[in-house]
Amino acid sequence: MGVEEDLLKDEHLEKELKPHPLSFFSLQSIAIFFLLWGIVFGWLINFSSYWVGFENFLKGFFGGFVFIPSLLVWWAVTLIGGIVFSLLFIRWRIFFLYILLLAIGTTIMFIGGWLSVYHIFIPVYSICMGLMGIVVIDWYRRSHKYIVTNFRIIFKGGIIRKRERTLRYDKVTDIESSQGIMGQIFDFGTIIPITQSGFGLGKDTSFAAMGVGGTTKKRFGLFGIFGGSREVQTPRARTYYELHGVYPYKEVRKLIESLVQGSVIVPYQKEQVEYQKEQLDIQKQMKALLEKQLELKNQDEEDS
Amino acid sequence: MGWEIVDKFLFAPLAPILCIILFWSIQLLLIESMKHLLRKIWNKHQSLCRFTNLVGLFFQAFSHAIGYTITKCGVSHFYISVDESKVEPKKQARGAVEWVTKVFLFVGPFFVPAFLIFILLFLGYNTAFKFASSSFYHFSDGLIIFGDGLAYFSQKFSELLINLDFLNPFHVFFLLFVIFVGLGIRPLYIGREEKRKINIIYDLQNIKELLSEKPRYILFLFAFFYVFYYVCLLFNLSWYINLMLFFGWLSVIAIIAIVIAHFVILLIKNVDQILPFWNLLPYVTMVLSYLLSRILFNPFSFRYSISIAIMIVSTFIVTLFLRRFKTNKLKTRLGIKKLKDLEVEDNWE
Repeated sequence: MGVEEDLLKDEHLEKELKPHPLSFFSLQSIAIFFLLWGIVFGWLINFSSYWVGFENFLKGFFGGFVFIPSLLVWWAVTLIGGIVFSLLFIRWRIFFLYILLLAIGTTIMFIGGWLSVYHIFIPVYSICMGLMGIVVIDWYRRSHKYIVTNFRIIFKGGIIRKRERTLRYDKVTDIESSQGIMGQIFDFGTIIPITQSGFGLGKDTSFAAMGVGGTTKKRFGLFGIFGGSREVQTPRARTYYELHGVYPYKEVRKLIESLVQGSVIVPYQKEQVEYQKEQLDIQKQMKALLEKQLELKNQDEEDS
Repeated sequence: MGWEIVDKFLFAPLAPILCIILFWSIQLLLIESMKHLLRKIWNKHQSLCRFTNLVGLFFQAFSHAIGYTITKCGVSHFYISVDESKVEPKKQARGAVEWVTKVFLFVGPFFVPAFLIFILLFLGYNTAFKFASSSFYHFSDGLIIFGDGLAYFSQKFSELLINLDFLNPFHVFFLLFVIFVGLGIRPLYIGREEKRKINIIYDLQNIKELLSEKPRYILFLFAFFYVFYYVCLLFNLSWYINLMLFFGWLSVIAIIAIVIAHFVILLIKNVDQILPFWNLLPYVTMVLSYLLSRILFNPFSFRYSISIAIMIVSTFIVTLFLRRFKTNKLKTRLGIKKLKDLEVEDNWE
């Protein structure tokens, strides 16, 4: 479906944008970690001399189950990575995603009879899952489409559930733009138009809690939680409701700023007043000319 | 006898200092050459150039911040982007403290990145470092001990590099780290419009100002080195020469890292001149030749070095071949400059 079908009467396309391939690097890094760890793990258990001693040490605990040390290390390092990513992105679903991937891999290994070749199965599985993650994230990126016209911005996104948002420039009160380190290197950035209704704003919340258990002699026990929380409003939107990772950043930001500026009512009215003044001046000049013409005509008549 | 005393007490301590200055000058020249190369690939590889700016500026800001922290000025503001870096102290430094922070700002970026590699080497490959066992008494002895230490280190470091196993992820990360450090050994600002004139002249001017602004601090610094040398001489300690060797090692590390970064940029620059699609071939050759050599020479002890050698040679030959035959068809066989010279000669005739 072409962009033209989305356009209204007298509406023309200014720019059609998609997020830069590296703009979802934070998501991609989750998959890249799984992939890289697969490579390192494969090298470690198949080729490295460091592994032999460590494996022998662990084998002492697990006897004939030779695959258990490898499985344990694979699980442990992946879960540590999951915890780190979850804390960094404040999303525990990453940790659970890793658990799910590990559980699926382990189940396939047990049920599918891959236990005897665990040293090949685990790295190959990790690399394949990592690659698949990168591909899925790229599909998600490609599902985003931002259509900038002279009237509005149309945001589209979503792989299965399609979402769309239309934003007219006269509704935009503020524009927030940001560029991370990757963005500065590859010249892309995120632009969030904030509306009068507060669309494009999110909240950063921090919470502090404290619990005291047990009771004192005076029965002055504190058995509960003291809590405190703070909220800060900050520009934030879903990637399909903002111009996420658009390229070239400076050019797009300038275009959006100028389109928003062009739709602001105050400068428009000022422009109208100036036109009216100009018209008034012209009319005054014409009136003076007509009066002079009439005067000259009267004079001619008197002379004749 | 008289001359020997002069040599022992006046000239001998200068020997390693002069060597360090020599190595540092080589480093400066190589940096300037890399900047020249980066400028040539700017149009096609802006992202890579921005990345090198960022790395360089990061090391500069990091050195500056270390300077403020060591001198107890504190850091109130730390900002870094691909275009500029800014570090502001909590309290303004004055006098000697200000001078020390300036030393960190101007000299730090040359040594801090190399120090990071030094830490890695020291932790994983400490046999590369041969420390001097006793002090020295003559200028020539100083040169010999210093040169011997550096030659030994250079040989060991080169051996390590040519024996890297690219099928070992840690070795690959190490090489990438060396290239990363080589690219950002100091701020190399490459841009469409150069906002700040950062080149060899700029560096030398800064150093000159640093020296001429507060000459007595330089005298104090030299006095410190001399006193340190005399103390080592008195107790027959090797601390002075080992301290100088440490700076020498940093310089050698920096020079080798810059040379490797040169090869990477040269490869990119040459590949750019090859027609699309064909320009992938040098990179494919690089990977395939290495893998094939590793399989072929796997039973031998020299499998790592021979594989790297074959990889470099085959990539070089393929790149040259493609540059010759799969390049812009409109390009003249002779360079523009040579053609102009020919025209001038014809006119004379």
